[in-house]
Amino acid sequence: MGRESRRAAGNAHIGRWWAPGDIVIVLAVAALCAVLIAQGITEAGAGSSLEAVVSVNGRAVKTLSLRSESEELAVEGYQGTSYVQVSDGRVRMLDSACPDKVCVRSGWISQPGESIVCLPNRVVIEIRSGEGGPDVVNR
Amino acid sequence: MSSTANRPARPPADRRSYLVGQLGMLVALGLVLQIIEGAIPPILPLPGAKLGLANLATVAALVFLGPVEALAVNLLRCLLGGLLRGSFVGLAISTAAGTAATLVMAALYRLPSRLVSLTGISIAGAVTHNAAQLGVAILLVGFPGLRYYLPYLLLIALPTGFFIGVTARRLSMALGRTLPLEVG
Repeated sequence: MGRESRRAAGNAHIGRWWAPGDIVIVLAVAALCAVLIAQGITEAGAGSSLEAVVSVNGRAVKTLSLRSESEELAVEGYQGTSYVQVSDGRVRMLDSACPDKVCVRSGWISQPGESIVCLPNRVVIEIRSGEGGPDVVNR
Repeated sequence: MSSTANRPARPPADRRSYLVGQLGMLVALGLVLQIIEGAIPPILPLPGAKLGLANLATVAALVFLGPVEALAVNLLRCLLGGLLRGSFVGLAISTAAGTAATLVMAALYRLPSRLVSLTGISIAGAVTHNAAQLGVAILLVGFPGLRYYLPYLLLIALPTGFFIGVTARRLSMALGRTLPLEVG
């Protein structure tokens, strides 16, 4: 430690290994983290952001949030009316104007990527994550 | 030009080539540190949570040369390091995040040294780097859900920034004694 480092200590930020401002920086970051984590927990507690996209002949007609307690939707298809029901974070085809009722017997769906198809009436219900992004990212 | 007895070389009259040499030396230092860091297995299984050893070169450039030179050292190191690793996404993320971090550190460095030390400057840089890194990742991947990762990346930046700051101070003291560098 010659006079070189003493001179350096005078006019550069290498004199002491800490200064009062450092504590301010750390506290500010810690507070920001606490707010962000609390926000994340609150949003997670508010439930999923899944939504059911109802489409006719490949064209999206209506998007229903699975967060809503209970909701019914009537969609005009190619052979008549299809009735879509949302309840408790799930969605099903209540009834549809089709001869085979395969869609009705599909029952409830609730996971992103799941779908109910009514082929004769060309009505499709598909669950997507509301973020608008992918459900899974593999890297 | 004040010269001291224990300095090994005196700055030559040609400041320009002298500066090129200093920049090249610090870029090389950063690249070597980056390669060393790549050889260390990750302690935490979190992507983006690194020690940031290569940042030592940027901080040294800030101490000895100045804010513009620090930006240059960081940019060159990121571009060359990205080519070495051969990942375009990695290059884009580290360049953008490194530039943001260097800008923040350069701004804080203007404050008097009794208010903020290299430790705090480095912590602020690490926090900025991790935040910017995640921001660019969200833009590139297009998945906003990644933002829930932000507070954890910021918390990790506290110890890594602290370590880099304390080390950068020791490094700067050593470099000032052994290399033809002047504290600017």
